[in-house]
Amino acid sequence: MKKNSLQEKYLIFRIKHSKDPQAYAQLYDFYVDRIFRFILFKVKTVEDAEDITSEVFLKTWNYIRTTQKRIENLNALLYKMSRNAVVDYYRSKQRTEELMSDEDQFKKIMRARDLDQEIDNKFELKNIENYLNQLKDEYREVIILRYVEEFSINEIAQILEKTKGNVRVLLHRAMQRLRELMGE
Amino acid sequence: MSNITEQLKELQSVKPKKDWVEQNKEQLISQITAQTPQKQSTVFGYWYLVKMLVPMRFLNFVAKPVGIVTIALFAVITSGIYSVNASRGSLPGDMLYSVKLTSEKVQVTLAISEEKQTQKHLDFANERANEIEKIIQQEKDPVKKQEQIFIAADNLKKEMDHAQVKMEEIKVKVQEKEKTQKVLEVIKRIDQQSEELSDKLNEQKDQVTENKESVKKINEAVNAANKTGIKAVEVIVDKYEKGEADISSEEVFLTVEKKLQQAQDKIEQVKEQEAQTEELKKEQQEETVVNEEEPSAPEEDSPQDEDVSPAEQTTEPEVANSQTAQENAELAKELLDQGDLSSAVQKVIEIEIITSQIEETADEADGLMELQVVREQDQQEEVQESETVDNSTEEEIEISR
Repeated sequence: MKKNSLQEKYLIFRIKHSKDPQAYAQLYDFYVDRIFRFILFKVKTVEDAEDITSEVFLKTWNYIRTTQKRIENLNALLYKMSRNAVVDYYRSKQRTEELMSDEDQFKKIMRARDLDQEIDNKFELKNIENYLNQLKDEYREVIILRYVEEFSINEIAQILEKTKGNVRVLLHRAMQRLRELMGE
Repeated sequence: MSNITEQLKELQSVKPKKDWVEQNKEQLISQITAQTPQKQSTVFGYWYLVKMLVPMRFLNFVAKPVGIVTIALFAVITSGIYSVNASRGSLPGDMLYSVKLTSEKVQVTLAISEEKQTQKHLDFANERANEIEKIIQQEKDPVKKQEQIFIAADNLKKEMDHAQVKMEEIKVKVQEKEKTQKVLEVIKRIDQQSEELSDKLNEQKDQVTENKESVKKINEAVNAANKTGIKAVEVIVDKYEKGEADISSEEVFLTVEKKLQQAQDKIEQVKEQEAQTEELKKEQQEETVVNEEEPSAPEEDSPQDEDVSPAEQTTEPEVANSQTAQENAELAKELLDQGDLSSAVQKVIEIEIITSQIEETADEADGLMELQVVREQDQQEEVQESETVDNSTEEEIEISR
């Protein structure tokens, strides 16, 4: 199923109209991995990411069920809810961003993954994640959305609620910063 | 740079634990199933489905405007229909009356065949008669009453004219036997209807005898109705004689005879009217002589003179006319006996023309005389007033002394 496809719209309709849990289950299957990943890059701990992800899906269910507005873009909706949930999370826990050592980071990420992943890449992956974490949240976010999730500028603009121009500029600056950090 | 993007892309491998995913899913489902489902109405449901499936731009710029325009059109049409319906009970002078007349015209146009159109004209003429009935009952103001009756009766006459024209067309056009049969049924019905209409109008006439103008107008309507009936008979006879109709000679004969009888009754009626008018004119002539002696109202004389002289002139032809009518009637009887039905009908038509003419003149004269009577009364009042003024000034002069 593609995002924002007719099939998706039909599922949303079923949820709204008949409160069909199975329809929502299908949407969950489709989106959960990506949402989880997105949140993980923001909160860095797996447990937190798991908690927040479940929270996001529950909230989204309620939102679809009760809103009078037409849901144009579920994808954007989920990401927006995720961002908001992360913000709320930080506010409520009043956490400060922990600077982590490379190794801790590495371990954490490995825990989150299926162990039959390609291990060859892990060092490089480790590196880049390390650098990503050094970026400010805004930059990291846009890079993830663009190069990991492979969204178009348009889609990112919808998720971040910015203009396309803003997104391009932001992305450009983010990539520059990343390159600087990586010493290229 | 590409290195970076490649590296970033590889981050796609970051995924949540499968166990956790499953567990979370179950938890989520159980949570949401626990919520009591609310039933939404199916109508809105399907609307949401449509809204979901159709992109927003289309909805806003195409579907909604189309929907709005359709509703607007529908509203206009419904209000049109509503006002047409509301206009049904309206009378001349009401705002919606013109709507009523227009909708009637539309109905005539919609009736495709000529006989159906003729039928419609009859129906509407009947409606005019009903209106007159209502006016007589409801309207208190005599001026308005007269006006409204005038309008209704006038329109009735128009309907009758239309009906007659249509029947002439039928006479000329319709020739195949099967069609003629159907048409003939309608024509017979029309004859009947016009008779009923005449009777109705005559009754109404009796209710407004005080108003000469109205009487005159209603008479015109009666004559129009009669003429329509005669026309119908003319068509029947024509079809019969051409062999296009499946109708017994006896039936046709009786129909024509009936019309002739009606014509003769009319002759009798106008004879009486003629006589009355004669009487009134003679009285008036005497009065004119008396009035000329008085100094006041010199202006009144000239119209009276005008009235008198044409009356004198027309006295002779009028008597001749009713006599002519009588002669025609006798001729018609002969033709009927001989079996020359169409000529008989032609005679009946001529009789109708004569009798309506007589009636019209009589009514005119009546009306004019009434006008004079009114003028005389006014004039007398003036005289009385001026006398009282003189008296009062005299008194004043006396007092001032």
